[in-house]
Amino acid sequence: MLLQQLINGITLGATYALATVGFSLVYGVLELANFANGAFYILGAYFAMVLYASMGMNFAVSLALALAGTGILGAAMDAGLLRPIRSKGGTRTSMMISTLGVGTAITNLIIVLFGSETKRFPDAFGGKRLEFASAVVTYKQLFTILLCIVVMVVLSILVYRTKLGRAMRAISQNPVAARLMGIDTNTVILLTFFIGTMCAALSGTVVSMYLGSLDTTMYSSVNIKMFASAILGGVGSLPGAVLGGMILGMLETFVSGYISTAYKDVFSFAILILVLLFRPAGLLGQRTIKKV
Amino acid sequence: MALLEVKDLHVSYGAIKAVRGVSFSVEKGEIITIIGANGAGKSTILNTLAGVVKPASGEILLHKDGHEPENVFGAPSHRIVKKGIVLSPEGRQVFPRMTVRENLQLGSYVLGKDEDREKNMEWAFSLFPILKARLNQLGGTLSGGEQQMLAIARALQANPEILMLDEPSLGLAPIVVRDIFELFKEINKSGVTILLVEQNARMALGISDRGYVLENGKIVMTGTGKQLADDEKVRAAYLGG
Repeated sequence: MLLQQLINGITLGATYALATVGFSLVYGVLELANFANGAFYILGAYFAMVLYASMGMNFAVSLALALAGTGILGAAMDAGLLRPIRSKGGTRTSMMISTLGVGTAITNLIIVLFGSETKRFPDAFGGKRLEFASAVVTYKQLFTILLCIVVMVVLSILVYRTKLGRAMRAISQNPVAARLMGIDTNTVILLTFFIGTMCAALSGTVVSMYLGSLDTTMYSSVNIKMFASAILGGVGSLPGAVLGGMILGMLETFVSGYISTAYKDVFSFAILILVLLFRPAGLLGQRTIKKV
Repeated sequence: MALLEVKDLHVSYGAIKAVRGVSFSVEKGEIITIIGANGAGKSTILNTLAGVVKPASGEILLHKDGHEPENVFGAPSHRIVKKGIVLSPEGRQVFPRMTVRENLQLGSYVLGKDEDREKNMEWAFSLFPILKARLNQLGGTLSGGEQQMLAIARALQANPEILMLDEPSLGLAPIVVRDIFELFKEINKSGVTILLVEQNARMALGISDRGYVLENGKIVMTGTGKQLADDEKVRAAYLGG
């Protein structure tokens, strides 16, 4: 029982972590809470579902196309909507509200195109599973956990070891100085949205397959969970996103398993409130001191 | 022909006209100073040349050896830096949560793969040995003077043809200021043209070939560094009598 809960908790945590890293990546560079991230999460899942389940394409190809398509739309949101706000000196609040608008538009477009009923997402691994001790691990659980690890490693290398990552960090610390270094900040921000949105789409697809189904109500629930994980771990911090997602996933699984599913959100948000009260920067967040 | 020629430059912030028809030129190898009171438009001129402020009208002509003159008016900053015009901004603006090494590496962001970053870094260490000792320390933990040195060293990493320095002496101890100005002469001798904006007009004119006096967004006087330093009106207004 304990081992099984642990495995389920890690899987759920991995899905939250995957959704949150994309959100945190954008937040880390722009200090912008991108609420369209939840919409790109389900959009990616619908893309993959249509290609894989409806059109019968290979799963890996469907996933790759869904990621690329969603990533391009995320970049388009930046270029078409957010960049004009930035260049006119608009506030972050304006940008944040724009992302909320994009999120609403995307989810409603999905309802118009696909209807609001729940869709089935077939298991690409045909229900295969491993059994050991008294626990069961499905292949799709393993896939989810593995993917979370791979994405974390790739993003860490990207942010801390590449020129693009150095440019991202420069923009996050001092956007004007970054421009003076000759960094094409608009292009770097565009790529950040592309990568962040791809993470969201990846997460949405993997979660849909893990649950076996998807619908548009996932939008608001994932947005809240993503936001909660980010705050828990420290907004803008990638390890924080993973830690926050894992804690939330574990907590929900254990509360559901040992107390009652009715209380899982109560505990999650109680923890969130405690963190905000005693460590407002999050568990791994840096306390930033802004000079006036 | 001058390396940099600015013609009838106008810059506005909304309804406020910060720079109103400024023309000046910078010859290759010179040290040029723009002096003026707070709010005269000095920083605006440098920020416009660096491409972080959009000008309203005018021409900014860059004429590098062996190249056709090119109007870089309104070009974005990442293209300006590639052309060799680099600004060390007012207030240092180092990256606080990056090490000295990472700050310097960002300075050479625009250089190609085959260009010698190591050599540039060694040069910076020979000018500012303290930076070598602080190599793995975060930019935000350096003292004001050290941050200023880092900002200048960082600007040098991009192999600038023209180095623009905005208020490099601001907030520094007088003895440090003297040292830094000596280094500007050394940097200039190695072939870097310098365009300087300074409150400390006496120091700045002392090392400058020529200078311009800016008042309310317009150039009101020009001359060699010595001429300006000896001028009655300049002495009264900017050199404390």
